[in-house]
Amino acid sequence: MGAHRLHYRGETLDISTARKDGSHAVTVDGAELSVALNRDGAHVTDGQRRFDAYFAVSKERIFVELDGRLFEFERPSSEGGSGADSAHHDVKDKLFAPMPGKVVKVLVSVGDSVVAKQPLVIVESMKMENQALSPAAGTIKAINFAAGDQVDTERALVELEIAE
Amino acid sequence: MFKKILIANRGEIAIRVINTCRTLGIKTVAVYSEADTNSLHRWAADEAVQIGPAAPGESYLVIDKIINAAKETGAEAIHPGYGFLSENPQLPGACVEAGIVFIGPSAESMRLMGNKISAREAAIEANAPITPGLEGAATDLSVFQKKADEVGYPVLIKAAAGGGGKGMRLVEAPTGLADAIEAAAREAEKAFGNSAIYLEKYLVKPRHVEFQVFGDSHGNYAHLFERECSIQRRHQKIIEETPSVALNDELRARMGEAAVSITRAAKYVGAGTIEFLLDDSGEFYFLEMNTRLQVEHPITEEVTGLDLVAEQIRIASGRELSEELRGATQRGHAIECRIYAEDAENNFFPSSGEVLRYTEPSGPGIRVDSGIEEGSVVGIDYDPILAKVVTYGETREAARLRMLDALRRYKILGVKTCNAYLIDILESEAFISGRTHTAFIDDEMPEIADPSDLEIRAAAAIAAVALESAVAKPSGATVGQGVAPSLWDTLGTWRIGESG
Repeated sequence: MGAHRLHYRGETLDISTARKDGSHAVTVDGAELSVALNRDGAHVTDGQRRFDAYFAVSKERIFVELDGRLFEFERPSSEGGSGADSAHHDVKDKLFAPMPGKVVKVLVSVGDSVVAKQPLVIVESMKMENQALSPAAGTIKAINFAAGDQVDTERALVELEIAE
Repeated sequence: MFKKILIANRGEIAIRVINTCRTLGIKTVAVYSEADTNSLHRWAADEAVQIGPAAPGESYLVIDKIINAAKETGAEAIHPGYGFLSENPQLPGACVEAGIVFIGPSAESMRLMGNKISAREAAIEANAPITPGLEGAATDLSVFQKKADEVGYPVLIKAAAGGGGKGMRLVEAPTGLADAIEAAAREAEKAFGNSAIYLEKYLVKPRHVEFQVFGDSHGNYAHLFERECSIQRRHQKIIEETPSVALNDELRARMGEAAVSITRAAKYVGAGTIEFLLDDSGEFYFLEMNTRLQVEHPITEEVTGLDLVAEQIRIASGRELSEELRGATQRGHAIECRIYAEDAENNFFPSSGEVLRYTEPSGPGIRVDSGIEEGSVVGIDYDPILAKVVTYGETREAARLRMLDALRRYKILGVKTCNAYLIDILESEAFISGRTHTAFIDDEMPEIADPSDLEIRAAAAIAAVALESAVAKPSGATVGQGVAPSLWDTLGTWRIGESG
């Protein structure tokens, strides 16, 4: 028996689990699914369709591969319980560097209107310049880094006021 | 023949070279940075020498350290792989001084062809067609503006020393020119230590067709047919195949002949690649020469039955091009998919992390050249290529179906990979019908579809059960060192499976 809250792309998923006939009866947002673990991974079915899945759990994340598609969930912190605090990468009003690197150029200024997927910051990682794209349409509220700064994935590069 | 070779590289290519050396009875020496202390290539070689910190500029790119490692271990020759020092003429120069054989062209040929500007001049001498653009490097914005207006937009800004898409920018309209020049020069300076850039006309939707060429130190030159590498993202190839559906025997012969004359003009020794752009009307233009082994060389090996690294080593030891190489024929069809640690859903942004689960596909006609294993850490210091999957079939369709099967069976968890996106491409009608060109991903591929609610819920259900199984494990247990914490986590599946 367990209750979990996971986040996926800004959506919150409430999950409860129970053991049933050697497999797991899992309810996700009211939908009932059955999960059976096997030696290599797991099967999951809603009674109509069955997916083959592989998974791995690190200290921070849960990785699931479902029929070739990768899903990543942040692992709820054991103290926080709900895990809402640790799910900061799923929020839409902050842009995080997908990996550590160095800010090469900031392409916008505070107050600028931006559209979703607009390049906001150029970050150099792995010897390549990469564009960090806006997670949503809105207005730039804050820029926390300048060209030349080292960035990690924990502090937002840019904060947005999301357009209604 | 050599008794011992040092491989001045890391990852999948270092391992691939080591594998050939083993089949030739040659001992190998790996070099590795502090970040690669536990990497696969370090342990795959017979000996290994640590050459400094993670930053390539303090390890893999330091010629003195490479030469000293070779001297220290008694290696008679150095194989540079691709990337890093492979196209830096100072390495063959330093090898000559140290009395070590460089497995590749001379510093002179490398300088001539490695610089895209003098390479264009060499192609003109060899009577091969080149793309319209600047004859030499420029720094003055007005020079770029004038040439761009003359050849017409879109144009490409390219690093004279460039490769792999670095230091390259596409400019669609005059307004973007200044920014692109600035960014390209900056990236080129960082990647190659040379900020020289030039401009050429950007052909809209050409195919990228390259020829594998070889030369020896006796004046013999030959080609091993083409590879089509049209499917690129960020100007970097991700899927390659041979033969190209766009060539017939007549065009293949003409392009092959042009490739060989350029190789001859460069007095080129070793394995190289002549890249052409091919337009709809069958006109082709020399783009550049890569003076090294290509990432995608395995597809040529699949259709010719040759080991290109073995050929490189034989040529470097002073032998003539082998009979097999000179008489090679193309048979069947081969496709390569590059597995990068990157997020296809986020503009192909590189991804880092630890490989928690890893299962390679295998079977007839499937080859995986990999640089990782379970527990490997994919860092931020190096190119994010993890592995290459190569499939062979009697027909293009057979190779394609085999690739789809191989990609579906290839499990890499812990870092993001482009695997699912490669499957989408291979299943697209455009790929199936051979409608491949360099704008393929922008023009032919739809945005990656969002997962359905059912898929999200199914994944979340698995995640919740996975989480419980991870929490249920003995918390005090440790295994080995280094990767221990997450190793226990990954074993959660089996332990629950046994008890449940």
